[in-house]
Amino acid sequence: MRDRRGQLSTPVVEAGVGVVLIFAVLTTFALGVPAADTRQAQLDQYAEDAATVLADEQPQHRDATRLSELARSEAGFDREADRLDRQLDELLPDTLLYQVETEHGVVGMERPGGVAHGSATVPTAYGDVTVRVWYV
Amino acid sequence: MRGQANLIALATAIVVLSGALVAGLAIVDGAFGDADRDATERGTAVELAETLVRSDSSLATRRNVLDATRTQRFDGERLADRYPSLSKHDVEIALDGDVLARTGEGRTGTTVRRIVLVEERQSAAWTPSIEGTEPAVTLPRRTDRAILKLSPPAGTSMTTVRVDGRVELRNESGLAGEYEVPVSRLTTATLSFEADGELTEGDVTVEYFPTRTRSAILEVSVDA
Amino acid sequence: MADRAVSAVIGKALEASIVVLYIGLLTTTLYAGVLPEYRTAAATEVTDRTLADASGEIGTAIPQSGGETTARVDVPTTIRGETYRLHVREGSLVLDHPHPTVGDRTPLVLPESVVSIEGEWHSADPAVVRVEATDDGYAITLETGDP
Repeated sequence: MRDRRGQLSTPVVEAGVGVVLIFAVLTTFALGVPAADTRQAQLDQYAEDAATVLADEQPQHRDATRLSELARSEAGFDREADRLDRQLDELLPDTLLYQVETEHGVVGMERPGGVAHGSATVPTAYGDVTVRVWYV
Repeated sequence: MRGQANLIALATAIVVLSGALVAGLAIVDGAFGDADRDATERGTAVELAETLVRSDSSLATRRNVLDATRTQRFDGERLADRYPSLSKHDVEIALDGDVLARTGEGRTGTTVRRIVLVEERQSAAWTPSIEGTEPAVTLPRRTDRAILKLSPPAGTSMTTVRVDGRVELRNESGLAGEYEVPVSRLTTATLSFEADGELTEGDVTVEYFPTRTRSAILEVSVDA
Repeated sequence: MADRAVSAVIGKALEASIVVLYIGLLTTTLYAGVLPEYRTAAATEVTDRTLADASGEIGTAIPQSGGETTARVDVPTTIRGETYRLHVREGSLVLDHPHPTVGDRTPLVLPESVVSIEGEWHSADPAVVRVEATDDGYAITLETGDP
């Protein structure tokens, strides 16, 4: 009678701890298999495809491609920027927002920070042009 | 008495622990079950989509540009012939929602999307207004080839035809009839003609093939 | 009085030995019954992933136009503790593993300009994929060695 000290008997406590431990370990198995980042891969592919299509396009003047005109100079950028914007708007599905960055400026929307985005960079004779896309 | 109470508590603890272990193993079993089939499905879908948009694809005129007529004629059977290993999978290929080819069930499994242009080539006939002995005209639209019908007036021989400055046809004794010439699709081409007499409108007619292009999404779905 | 003391010791000893017995039983059951199954299940997952990665790297190695390319391909040296083979059979990449329940195949979807693919990889040796342009199209070879 003197041993009933008003606390749970040790085996019960140990069993409780054991159960919690087992579930903790097994839960990491159940939850711990991360889904492969398929959204990122799809976004990157969208950006690559957009860059591929744009790289082939002719500007209003000259023989160079539109992207190289954009990268070449401020004047080139100003001339081609609107057309590129409209072209991307037409090209990409409505679920995507986009941005094209060159040394001389940025075409498109502002990219919210912390949002998953895909990107593709096209090297041109005058500099790199980077296309970024993200979901609305 | 005390000892027996402890033993009962111990026995209970063992039973509870074993129960927790069994329940936990059941959970793990479930987790293992549906894990990685998606990786192979997705890999196959990515490969198939890439195969279709590459420049060497039978559907494509160049990378990421599909020919409208060829997509309409695209046959799921040809797909199954070339890739017999896909027969056990449910594959669906759609362009802007229209199904081009399908084996098995509809859109199930993993889907991969590509942005493409769909190009429709039309045929246009044009009779340029030309005059003089060395006229030059510029095509109204870009094209990748042109069919020229040359019929210079009697007594006049057309000796040379240049496309964008490059000599494409030359015959000192005179060109006449129908000729197909390749044209750079990157710029609207300039045709120039040399003849030993006056040419007038109607001596040359041009059939060219401008394209209409629209953007589209190609969807490839694979269900293992 | 003495009885109580003795039964306390015996009681604790009994408890301890029951616990030890239980742990022993548990360990034996797990290692004999459940664990091999889970090793195989994990091996199956690794197999699927290996096949997906390898077929992806073969596809990436094929150039857009012309030329010859050689590329290293990384595969795990062992699955479930043993080495295995990768080869192509009837348009699928097949993983051959000594364990009877481990092994799988994945369809290999290659561009239309690829005319042949042959060769095999042993997981213990460095794997290389070589793509050569021939008159009819691309010929792919799975080899071992340095790229």
